[in-house]
Amino acid sequence: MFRPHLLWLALCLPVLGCEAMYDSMDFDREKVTVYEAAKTVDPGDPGAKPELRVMAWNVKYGAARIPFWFDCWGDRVKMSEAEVEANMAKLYAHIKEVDPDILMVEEIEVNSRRSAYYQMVQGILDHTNLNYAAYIQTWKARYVAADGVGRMDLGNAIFSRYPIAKAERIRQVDRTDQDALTSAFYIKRAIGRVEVELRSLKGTGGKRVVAFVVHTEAYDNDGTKQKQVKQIHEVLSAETLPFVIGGDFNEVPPTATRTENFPDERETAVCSADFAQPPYTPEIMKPFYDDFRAWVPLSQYDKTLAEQSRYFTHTVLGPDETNEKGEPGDWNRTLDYLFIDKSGNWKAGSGTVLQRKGQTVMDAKGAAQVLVEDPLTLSDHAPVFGIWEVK
Amino acid sequence: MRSSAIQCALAALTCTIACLLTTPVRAMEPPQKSLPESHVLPARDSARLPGAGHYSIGIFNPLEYGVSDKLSLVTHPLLLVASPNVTARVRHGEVAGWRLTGEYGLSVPYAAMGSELPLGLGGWLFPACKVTQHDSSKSGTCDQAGWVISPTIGAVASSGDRHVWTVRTELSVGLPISGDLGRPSENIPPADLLFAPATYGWRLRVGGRYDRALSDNMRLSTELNGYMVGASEAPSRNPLTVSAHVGLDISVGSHSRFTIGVLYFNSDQRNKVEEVIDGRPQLVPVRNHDFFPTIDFIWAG
Repeated sequence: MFRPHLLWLALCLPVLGCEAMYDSMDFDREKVTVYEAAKTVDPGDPGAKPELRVMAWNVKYGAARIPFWFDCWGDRVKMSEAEVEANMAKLYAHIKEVDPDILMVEEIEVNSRRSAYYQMVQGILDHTNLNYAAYIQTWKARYVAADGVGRMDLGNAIFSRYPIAKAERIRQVDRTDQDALTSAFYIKRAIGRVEVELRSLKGTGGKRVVAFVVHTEAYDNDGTKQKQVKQIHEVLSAETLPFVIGGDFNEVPPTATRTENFPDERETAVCSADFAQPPYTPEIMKPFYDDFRAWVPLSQYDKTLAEQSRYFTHTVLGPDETNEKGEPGDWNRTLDYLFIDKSGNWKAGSGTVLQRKGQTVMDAKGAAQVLVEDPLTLSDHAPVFGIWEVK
Repeated sequence: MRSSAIQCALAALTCTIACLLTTPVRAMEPPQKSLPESHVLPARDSARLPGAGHYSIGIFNPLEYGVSDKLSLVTHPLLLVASPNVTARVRHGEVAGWRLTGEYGLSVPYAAMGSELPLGLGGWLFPACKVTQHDSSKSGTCDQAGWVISPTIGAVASSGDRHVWTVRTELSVGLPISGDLGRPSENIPPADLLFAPATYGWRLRVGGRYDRALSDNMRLSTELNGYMVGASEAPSRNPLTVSAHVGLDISVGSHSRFTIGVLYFNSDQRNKVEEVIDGRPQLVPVRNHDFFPTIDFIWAG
């Protein structure tokens, strides 16, 4: 992510402190901490045929539409505490109105300089109906010397109303197209996996289901993302419990009409080539559609750009920003997904992308509920949502 | 918050100047010679001035040149372009066996914080603002520091020749001439303290040092410093940093020396560790302990 130089080497190598300069995350598979809400809210017994409201969202570390430097449309490096608090309050409001039973979040931070050291995992627990959270840390560095990014503690998280019986992270492969120093301080991708017991908080036992969260590489030029996506498919194929996976795959669907020249890409190079979008490889998502159940099947995703746009989940530019042609930002590609194993089903009509205010989402009784919050202003990714009928 | 910090720092600066000017000075001591009569390797970082025409310079230690027996000028050549800096050290006399020297400095760290390598640390420790360079309409998103000048005032008192006790206090403030102060790294203590006047608004140092001659050619020194800096951005951060240093100086030739040591910092760098409180895992702040080896070769003449 940042460029090596002898000066930085001179700065970091002499440090013999109690805190490591970065976490190399040397594990294949290991347990992670499960956090708990300050006040838990008992969801009750889900019954013999549980229906779980499932949501996955890349929350861009609570930055909403603040233009950070690596997006190349602004130069922000750090937010104030007030900015983060305001952005998080809107995230909480949106999560509450969707009211998921299981929430998978990517790009969440607990003690990073750029997000004013805000503990977002505990924040979501304490401001929503979700009771437990596994934090899957993927990037921990004492100081990232890239535009003054500084201290970094970022990861993904899986939240649940029901008790999390087991939480772990499974290491993904690293990029090989970076020098050793850059690689050391760079994000380390991991698959998050939790086993959720579907029971009342006071009950015992309960059916176990698994939730996964993933966020694959975005900027590699060495096939790292393809390897990571393949590994995710292998992990899912080996799973014996009913599962749901949610996350930002940084890849467009296999039938995507547009795979390049997105309207939020700069026509003139401004930033470092480190943050240029490598060509998409949509075919790597096909096995997921073949072997699992997508929350929005390809038949629904459709064929034309206009039809597919209903399921776009990402735009770098927000509605109040314009590209070099003067066009305002809007969702322009699908990168985020939900899949379940084939033992279960998605409740008919529940699978959707929560793109904007005024849109409807299926409520607990199956009725259409109108969204008050506007996801287009809350993050550079839209949440994906569906109701999982667990068998 | 920034403006009140600057006002506070300016008030402290004024007090320090007033104290210095009203300090009773018994008598001006006679001009110092470049080395003590016994040819003992002299103590470093004391109130002693090099004497007229004498100098010392290290690879990392600053250049000090004696303009007269009562005045020397100090600058860090490595930082001269990135952060033009000069400090005048003025001998004020002697009080109860303690030599008293005032230090009056000025630095302008604009290029160090705003320019990219090799001149500054923009793009590394500070924002490079490449988008703003391309499109000035985005300048509101750029967190680069403006032009900041950083005056420093300090007082050093030393006692003894062979075994030297030194006490020191120093205040530096950052005065924005245009734009804002920079944003502190809140990490890497030496760098954070170096830029503190231009980022936190001010830095106060109070310290003591004992420098003992083990032989005519070798000295052992211990030093303890406390640093306070201006208020951080929210959430609040403990502004106190404590440092300690143990060093060994070995003479090389008649004037120069080789020096090695270990520098320790205790500081709040926003680090948090997980602890179980009330049955729930939570992140709690902890202070950092950092050790840095120090090494230098200092020429003197």
